[in-house]
Amino acid sequence: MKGYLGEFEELVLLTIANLADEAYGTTILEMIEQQANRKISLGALHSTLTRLEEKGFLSSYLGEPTAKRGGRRKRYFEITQSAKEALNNMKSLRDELWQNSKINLSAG
Amino acid sequence: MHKPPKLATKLFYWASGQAQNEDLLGDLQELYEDKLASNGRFKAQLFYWLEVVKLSFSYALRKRKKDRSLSNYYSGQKLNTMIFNYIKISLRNIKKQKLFTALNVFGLALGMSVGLLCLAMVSDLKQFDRFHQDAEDIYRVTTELTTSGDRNHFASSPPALADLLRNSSQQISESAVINDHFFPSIKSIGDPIELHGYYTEPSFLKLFDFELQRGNASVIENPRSVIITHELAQKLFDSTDVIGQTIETERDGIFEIGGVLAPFPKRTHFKFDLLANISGTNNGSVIGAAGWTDFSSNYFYFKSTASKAELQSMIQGLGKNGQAFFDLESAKANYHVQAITEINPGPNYSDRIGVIFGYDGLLYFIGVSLMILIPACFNYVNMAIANTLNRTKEIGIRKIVGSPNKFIVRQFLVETILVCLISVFLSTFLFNAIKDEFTAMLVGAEALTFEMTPAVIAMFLGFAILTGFLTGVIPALYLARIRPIAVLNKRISDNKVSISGFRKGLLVFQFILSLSFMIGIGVVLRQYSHTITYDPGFAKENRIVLPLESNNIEVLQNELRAINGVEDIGFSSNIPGLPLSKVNYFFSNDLNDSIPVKEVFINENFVDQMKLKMVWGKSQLTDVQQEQVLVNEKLLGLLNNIQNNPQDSLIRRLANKQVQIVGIVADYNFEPLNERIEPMVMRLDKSAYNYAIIELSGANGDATLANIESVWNKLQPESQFQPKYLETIVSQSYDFMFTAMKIFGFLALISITISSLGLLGMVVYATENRRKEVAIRKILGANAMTLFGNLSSTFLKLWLIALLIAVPGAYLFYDHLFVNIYNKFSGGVHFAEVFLSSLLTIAIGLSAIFWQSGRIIRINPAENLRND
Repeated sequence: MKGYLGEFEELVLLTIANLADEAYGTTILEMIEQQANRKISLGALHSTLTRLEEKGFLSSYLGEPTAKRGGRRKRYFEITQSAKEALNNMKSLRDELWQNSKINLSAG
Repeated sequence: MHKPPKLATKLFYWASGQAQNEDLLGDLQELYEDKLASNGRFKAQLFYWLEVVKLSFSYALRKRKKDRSLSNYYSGQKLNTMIFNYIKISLRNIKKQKLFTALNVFGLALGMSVGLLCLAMVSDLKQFDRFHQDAEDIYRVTTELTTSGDRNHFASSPPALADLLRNSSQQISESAVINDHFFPSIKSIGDPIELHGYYTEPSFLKLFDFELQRGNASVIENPRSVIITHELAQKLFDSTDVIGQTIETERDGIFEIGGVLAPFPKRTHFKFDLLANISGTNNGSVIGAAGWTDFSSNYFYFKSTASKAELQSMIQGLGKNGQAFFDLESAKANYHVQAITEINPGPNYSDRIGVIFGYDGLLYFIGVSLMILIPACFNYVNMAIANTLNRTKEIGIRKIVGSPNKFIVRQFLVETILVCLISVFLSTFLFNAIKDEFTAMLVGAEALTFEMTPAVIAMFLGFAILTGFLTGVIPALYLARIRPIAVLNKRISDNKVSISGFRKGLLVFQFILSLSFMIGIGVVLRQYSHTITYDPGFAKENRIVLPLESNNIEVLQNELRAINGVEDIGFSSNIPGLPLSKVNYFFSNDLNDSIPVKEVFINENFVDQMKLKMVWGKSQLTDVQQEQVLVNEKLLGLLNNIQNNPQDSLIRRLANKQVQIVGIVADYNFEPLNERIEPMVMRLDKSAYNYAIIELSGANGDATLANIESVWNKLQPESQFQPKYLETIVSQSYDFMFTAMKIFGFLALISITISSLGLLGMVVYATENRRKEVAIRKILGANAMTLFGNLSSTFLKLWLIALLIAVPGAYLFYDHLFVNIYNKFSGGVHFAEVFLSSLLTIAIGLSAIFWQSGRIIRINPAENLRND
């Protein structure tokens, strides 16, 4: 389904947006682990990144090698215009649903 | 920078193939470093491995591989493409070499059939007793008894130990004591119906999943109530609605049926017709020495969730309580637990219960199936190597185009596996044809179902693939070694007309096998004819046997004797010469030593009438206050306290009665010849006769029979008059030997066929390769006879070597091993079977050579040499 954004995909896109220039495999993974407190494998993350790229939500380019990576290059990810649109759509839908909720949703 | 596990990295490179993976590896490396800093080396390595595996199978990598590949056969499918290619070429080769393939497929199918049987049996045995709920938690206690260095392992265990275990252990949730020494026989016309039951407790039905169709388990708390199987209910009453019915047994009194079991799965080691209460037996005693040392036929099964080792140590601890009693017998007892699922196939314990297929029998069976399979595989190897000539060019070109050795090896392996798969398909039909015969031959085999479950089918396929792999690997390696330049230069192989030593060895081996099996048929045949003509020690001529119904034997005796042509009439509980199941116990004076004896009930003149020889004493028993018995020499030998003086009263205890030995009968084969002559006692008891044995004078037989019939119908109206000659009955009891002959015949047939196929294959290629030689010889003036001699001399030599090995081998094997099982009463291997089997093998060999070389000799030499 083109254009459909899954929950995890949304999380990944937002994480990349948070990381801005520093968004590559390891950093994305670590940020998700810290912020969302979720354990995911590198394989799962890269599969999602690949799918997002296929859907046109992400673009990537190879960066500079570092010693910590054994002299290997990084693949940086950035979000595209259509990703921004999809995120906005998602957010407005949620806001609307929150606002119109007839039950008090506050957790406290 | 720290190095992550090298192998994992390598694996990842391999999994990535052409795909770009630099960034992924970089990410992995970074994560590894972080993990190393926080969690230590071991955890980090484990983590790295896991991540590598996950990444290798991830969509990310698959997508990258697909993007990188040049065609739509992207790298993920590379292996499949290659296999398809191998299969395609293999199929073409198989099609091209029709004769070669047909010989091999047929040979391998024959060879695998016994192997399939073996596999199906093992997989069946693995399923034994799995149907019980929590089957993994059910155990039994076994006893290992060491008496002066002699170790004996029993499946039974002391009843006192069972009692202790129950009372002292909370770990046992359910348990049942079984005593299988319960052989009631139900009186009926002729032979009584012999049953086998277990004395046990109601918990038996809770511990094991035998479901009740009618009644409930608690009925066997009553000593006179029994629970019978569905099959027995059908057999006795033709219905299962039999609660409250009674069965009258000969020795054990009358039982009331309190329950009927539903049909249960066949795959269990338990084998019983009925269940009765255990407390009514003496063997239930748990007090004193008897509770410990007298444990034969007493089994204890229990359910526990504790581990086996835990149970083992607990039981060994409790077992120490009884050691004092074993010390009196200078024995040492040790106890083990055995899981119910480990009983079949399992170790061969003494005093076993139910159906057990031991490891040694299974091993023997596996050995036989390998002995059949291996020659078939050898044939394949043999022919594949002989076929090198036809394949050298293909291999040469493959190599020049750039194929490494391993690709050629794989090609041949795939080809062999394919042939084996075709064979296994054929073999399954053979397997289906022989499995019923096989079940009929094997004791207890009715518990085997030979169901074709998906697991069994998968196992068959696996077996075929394994066979193919092992068979194919030798020719594959051989062929892959060929050097392309040499091939294309025609430097090898046109001069390779002789057969290599290796292949000669194979051929000799096959010859030996077929010869041995054929000699085996001869030995069994001889054994059979010997058995039939052997004098068992009683007169069996001119005697007819009639099953008795009523006990009114005096009248019958008098009326029959009056008939003209009837010499005499005797009565007996058994037909002489047939297996005897009735066992009683004889005691020496000290009462400690019981001797199991076979028990026969006879009338006064039985001994004289059957012309049994007496060693001492009188042959006629008289019905007096002190019961008189006759014993055979064998029993006399065991009653070691008999004094050779007139003062010995010869009064001994039989079971719980004092009897006087009044005569000693010379040993005679009262059972079939395959049973040893065992101690026997003959007693007088009118109520126990089952058969009348009528001696005829021989003259005017038909009229006599008619007269007997009219008397019979008058006095025994309910039993049908079906006279059978004793001689016929006795010889029919040796029909089991036909089974042995069938086995040998079948094995011989298979191995002869396989070796003939192999021989034919060899001859075809050998003669093919000698075309030019034959042509030149012919031009130089050789005639057909010399050419034929020339071609067959190699095979004759091999056959001679085989004969030299096979005959002494077979002699040793059959004479010392096989014949011993059958009580050693035959002359073993004779000249006749050796001669006939050698004649047959050489005839097969020569006709193959004759056929093939005839074809070559007939060709005009000019045709063969035209191209050179």
